[in-house]
Amino acid sequence: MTPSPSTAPAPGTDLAVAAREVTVRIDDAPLLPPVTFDLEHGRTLAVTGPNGSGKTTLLRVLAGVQPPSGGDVSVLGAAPDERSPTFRAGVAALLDPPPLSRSLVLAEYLALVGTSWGLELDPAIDQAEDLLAELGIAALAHRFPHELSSGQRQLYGLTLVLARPCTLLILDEPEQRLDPDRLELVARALERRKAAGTTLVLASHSPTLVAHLADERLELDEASALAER
Amino acid sequence: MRRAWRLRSTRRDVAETAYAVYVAGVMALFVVAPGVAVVIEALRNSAVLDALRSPAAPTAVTLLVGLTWAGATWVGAGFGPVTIDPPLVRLWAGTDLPRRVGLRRPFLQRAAGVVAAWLAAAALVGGVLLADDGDLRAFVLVLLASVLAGAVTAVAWLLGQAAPRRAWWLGLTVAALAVLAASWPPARWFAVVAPLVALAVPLLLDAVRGPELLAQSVRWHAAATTARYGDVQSALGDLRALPRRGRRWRALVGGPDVVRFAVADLVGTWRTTGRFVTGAGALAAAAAALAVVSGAPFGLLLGAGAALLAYLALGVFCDGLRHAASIGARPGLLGHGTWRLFALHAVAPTVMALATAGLAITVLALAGTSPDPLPVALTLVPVLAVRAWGAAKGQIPVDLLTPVPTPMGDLSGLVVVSWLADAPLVAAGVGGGVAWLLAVGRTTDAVVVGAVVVGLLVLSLRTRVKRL
Repeated sequence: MTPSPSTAPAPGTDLAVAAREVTVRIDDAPLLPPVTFDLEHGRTLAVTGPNGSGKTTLLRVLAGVQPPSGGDVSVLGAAPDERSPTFRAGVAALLDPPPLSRSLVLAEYLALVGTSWGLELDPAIDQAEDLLAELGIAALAHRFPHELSSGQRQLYGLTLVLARPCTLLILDEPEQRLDPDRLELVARALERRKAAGTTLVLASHSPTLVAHLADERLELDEASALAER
Repeated sequence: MRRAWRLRSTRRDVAETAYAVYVAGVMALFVVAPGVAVVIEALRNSAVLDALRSPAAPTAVTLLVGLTWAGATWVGAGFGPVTIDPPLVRLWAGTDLPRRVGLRRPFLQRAAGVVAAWLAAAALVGGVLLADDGDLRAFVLVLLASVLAGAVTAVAWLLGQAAPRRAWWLGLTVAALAVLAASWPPARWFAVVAPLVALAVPLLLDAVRGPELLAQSVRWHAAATTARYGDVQSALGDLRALPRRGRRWRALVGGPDVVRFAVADLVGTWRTTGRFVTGAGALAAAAAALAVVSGAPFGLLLGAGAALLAYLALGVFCDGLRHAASIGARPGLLGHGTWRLFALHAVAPTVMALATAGLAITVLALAGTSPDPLPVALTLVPVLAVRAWGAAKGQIPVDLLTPVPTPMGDLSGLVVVSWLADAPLVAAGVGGGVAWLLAVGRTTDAVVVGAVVVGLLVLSLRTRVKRL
């Protein structure tokens, strides 16, 4: 990935993500300075930079929940729009803590997510157990969401987004509130998705995650964001 | 410590207190008193008077009061009477001051509110009797009994807060005692019980656990803050009971999505059993009232009240709809679109409405009355639609929070209140309207009104879902 607007190919379907001078402003305040990059299918892009540089805003644009103010962006061959069922089927994103069912235990809600994407009940239950084990929280299978610590909530949020099929996975700082051991588990889980062909875009402050996963790196500069103001 | 807190707090000065007393006095004299007089006069008819003077009335009062005490115990487990600001809780709970001293004042303030509510209800009922027969002694006795009943209610509420894990069984015990004592005259009952439970107050205050006190205070505080700024869904979410039991119950079943979501929603709600039973009971009571609304005096008021009760009761079974709204605002987790999720989560409250209405109508028929299912259907179906519509409401638009300066002061509060109350007002309006139309024999119009309201709500819901 090279952030060079003049030489990069035009947005097209052969790329998982193609962005040209994508920017987001609210009134006169720039949230994301112009960004240009391409990402091929199956590759992993790590978006790095200090707080306030626009990492989350860029991820929101790619997830189709924030329309860009300028520039062109294509995700899986189409303009990102979370209202499109086709787009939602291809793109999974964890940008905020996901809404949880207060009255279902973790394994049940995870299985419900699986069945909503077409799995039969028994395979969905098996998948739920596997995901909880993969992130080291199998012992929490019968807990209610309000019984989790903040780190456990973060891990559970990751299992939820991994429970659904996707072509592109977008994660905003998945390392939040995790100890080094858990972070290692998350890195390995994401490596397995990557090996299976999933394209990954993550914003991260974690050198561990970036070193494990990133094929490409996009450094957003707080100075660029400020200079736009 | 009190002195330090007083210095930090924004207490009213003498002039402000005098003005508050003046406003309260004027309101009581010119708004409340005429209103109460109108209500008493309206209730002073043979049907109400016969009911109040029937031989079964004392037993009914004892049962009603006993069940209210049981309910207060259950409520106390989730949000008890002692709820002060979280920073103050941390301060009190961490000192060596006995809790019976530190928490006495907030408890007494809340208890006074409970007693005042009982007193107001008793004054209304007693006022009807007094206006009819002029028996001042009986009126005073009713007021005294209500004070005692109110005091016990407050202590039962505190009992739930002091022993939240045992509140379910304690409430059941209280309800069972009320049933056993139903043959006693209510005033004697309350006179025996009230002094005994009053002695338990210091012990109960000492028994309140710090973490529980803090959790409840934080919950109340967050709810009050969010309600003040119009986000009632979040506010009620903070107050809703959280499940603790039934984690091994089977909530997911195979088969079509409709069945899976309905079972998951119902089993999930059953995990807060007290809430489930209360909601189902209230829904059955509302359906029973609607089934006899056609021949009842004040049919319009009864219909509106029953519809409002049904609206509140259905809320217990609408966690799934609220979840669908929160998923809709952050899509991509579940494989269903938001509209389909709303439809799937609407099944559980629909099943509960059908089941409780069927039960209420069957019981009424077995009791020898002639229940009419038409007003039940014509009210409950729109109320279900109101619930779904309300769940997708989202947060209050910021524009509505801007000040509305007028010569009478800032009226933005009225705008917020009207925004907050639209769903219950629609529910009550439909219930009252249907009852009135059926009472005057305009059955076709009642059906048309019900269908039009449902249609408009569904159309508006589609718009709201798209905006989530």
